[in-house]
Amino acid sequence: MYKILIIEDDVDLATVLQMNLVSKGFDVFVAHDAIQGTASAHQKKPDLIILDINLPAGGGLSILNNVKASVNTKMIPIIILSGSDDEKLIHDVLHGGVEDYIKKPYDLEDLCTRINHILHIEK
Amino acid sequence: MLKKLKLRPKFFLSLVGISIIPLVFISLFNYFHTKVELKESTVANLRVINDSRVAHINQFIQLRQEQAKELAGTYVIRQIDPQGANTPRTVQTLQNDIESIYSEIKKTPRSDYQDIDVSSSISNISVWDIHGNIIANTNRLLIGRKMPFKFLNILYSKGTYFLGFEKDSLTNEKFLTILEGVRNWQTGEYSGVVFLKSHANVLDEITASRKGLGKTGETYIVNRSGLMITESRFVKDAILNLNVKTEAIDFCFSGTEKDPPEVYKNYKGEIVLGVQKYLPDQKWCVVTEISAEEAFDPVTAFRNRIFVVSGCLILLILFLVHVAGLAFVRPILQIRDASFKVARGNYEVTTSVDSEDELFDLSRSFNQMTKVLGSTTAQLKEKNVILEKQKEELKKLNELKSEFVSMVSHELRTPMAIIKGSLSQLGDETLENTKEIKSRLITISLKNIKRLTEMINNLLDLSKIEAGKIELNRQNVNVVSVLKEVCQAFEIKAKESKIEIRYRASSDEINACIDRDKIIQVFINLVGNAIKFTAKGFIEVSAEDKEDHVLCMVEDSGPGISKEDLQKVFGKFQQFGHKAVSDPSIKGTGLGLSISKGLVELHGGTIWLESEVGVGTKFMFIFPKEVS
Repeated sequence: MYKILIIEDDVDLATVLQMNLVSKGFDVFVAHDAIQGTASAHQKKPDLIILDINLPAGGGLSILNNVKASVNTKMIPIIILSGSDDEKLIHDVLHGGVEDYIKKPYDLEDLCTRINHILHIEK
Repeated sequence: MLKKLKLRPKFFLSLVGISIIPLVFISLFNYFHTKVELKESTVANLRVINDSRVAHINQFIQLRQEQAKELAGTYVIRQIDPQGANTPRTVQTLQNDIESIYSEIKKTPRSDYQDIDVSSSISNISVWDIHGNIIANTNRLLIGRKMPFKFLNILYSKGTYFLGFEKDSLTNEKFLTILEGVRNWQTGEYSGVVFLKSHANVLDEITASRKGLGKTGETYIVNRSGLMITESRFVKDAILNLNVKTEAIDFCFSGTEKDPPEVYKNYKGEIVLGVQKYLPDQKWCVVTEISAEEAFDPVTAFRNRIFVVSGCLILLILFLVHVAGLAFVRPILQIRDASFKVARGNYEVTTSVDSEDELFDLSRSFNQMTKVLGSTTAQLKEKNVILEKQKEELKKLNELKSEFVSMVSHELRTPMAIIKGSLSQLGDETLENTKEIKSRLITISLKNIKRLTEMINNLLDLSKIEAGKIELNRQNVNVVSVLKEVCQAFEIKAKESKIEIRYRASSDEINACIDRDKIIQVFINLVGNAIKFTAKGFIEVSAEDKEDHVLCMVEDSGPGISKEDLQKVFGKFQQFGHKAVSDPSIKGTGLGLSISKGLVELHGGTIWLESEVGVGTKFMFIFPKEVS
């Protein structure tokens, strides 16, 4: 079972996303801020991270940099989930080593397709 | 040509042209007209003089001819034999007679013509026989000599012959010689010639009279050979020496009917006015001339006067035109220079034309125009500055608006994502959704729909406040009652959070003319925030009477706000603190403080805060009691 780490400050969204992915058969962990998120990434060693950019305590970019800088975690693929319309930000993160970028509100089927694609899961 | 000139030379040239050209024209016309008239009168005068001289000369010559005729008609002379066979007795008688006649003439002077002494002018009387031999002569030494015979034939046909003028080169005596044919008293045949030689000095006397001829005028006679036979006024020893070759002499001897020359060059090469008369018997030309210079002297003086007067007039005109031109052109130049300055943006320029004509009007209206232009330009500049400022503000506002829209869309996306995610899962029948899961998803969805609604309402409120579209429903309100109501509203929530909520007022009644609901909304926002963030301790709402203002406070013993976040507190969609993140139930919209600030400001008040991390936060707002 693939492990997915959701790092999202909005508790409701994190919960719904977790329920969505669990129902799709993933093992899901949730973190609500940058510190928790970084710690979880190192401890749980997820197969994939879904990351919100606007996070308290450091922001999503700090997690991104941290994860990609560490030998243990740099291979973990990351999907950015953000409500931001900032095109520069999108451009920056896509060139910063993330696998995909999904805009809120996400489409569940589309999200699953992308996750499967990244994890090379064939249905 | 005038087109290319500047105003001043154009004006100058025009006026000079208008005034000087007629002046010059009139002067020249007068000059030439007077000259012609003078010439005509001078020539007429000369003609009178010439005619009178000619009459003298004719009279003198006629006298001589009459004398000759008289001699030839005497009995003794008519005794001469036509064949020349005169006896010695006849000759002797003839000689005696001639001598007695000669002495008679000498003794009894006949002054037939004015002052001319005729008698003394007879120099010699001679009688020739038909062969040309002198048979009697007043000068006895000459008797027996033979005279040229060529005149006889002429005498046969004409009777009288004017032999001509001659001069004795030794004595310088001048003579006129006249021949008169003698007819025999019996046969009537030509039998000899009477030769009368008279002094011709009288001709000089006639021509030397220079009455009416001024300083340069003279009358002289020229013979057929073109030689002068009277004394010249200017050339010495002119008689039979001075060859006169002038237009006048040519004309005189040509015998044409043409108009005689009146102005020509005389024998000295000087320009003269002159008249001529041809004496056909003598083949002489009597000329009367006066130098043009003298003749035209009055007109020359007139011309010079005209030159002087015209010159003075022209100088005066130039001066006047210059002055007038300056008077006309100076204001125009002044206005032109001023207009250049105005064109360069100097609106302080004024023109001062000290006249009361149209130029003064022009100057005055130019000054007014400049003034209006100056003030209009200044106003425009001011307005431009204002517009520039407004433009900058609008640009900033636009940027803020774009930012705000982006923020709003961002904030709306999260609850939408929650609802969409929940509904997607609920709607997917392939998934095994337990009852518990379904209920949880529905609850979360509903909560977030409420959150969306609240957010939209807040946004609308904020937009209304910012657009000034909220009208305050002001009433006289006791602020203390507001404090009580707020405390009551949060009592239960505070109890749940184990926080003490209390109010404090400087007096029982603090009245102010405010919109009660709006002020309550401010308190609710502030107290709501305080409860969200305060874990333990108290929340105090208070009001103080500050004469014409009311100062309100909401104080808590919460975690406080860091200095860097203090700046952002009243910004839109700003949320701080760890507590807000971890507990989804108190997640706000991030618009509450923006709305509170707007509402306080609508009341003419201000809102601010003091906070210390770990101690607490104190929000304060003050507003006037009455509407200002």
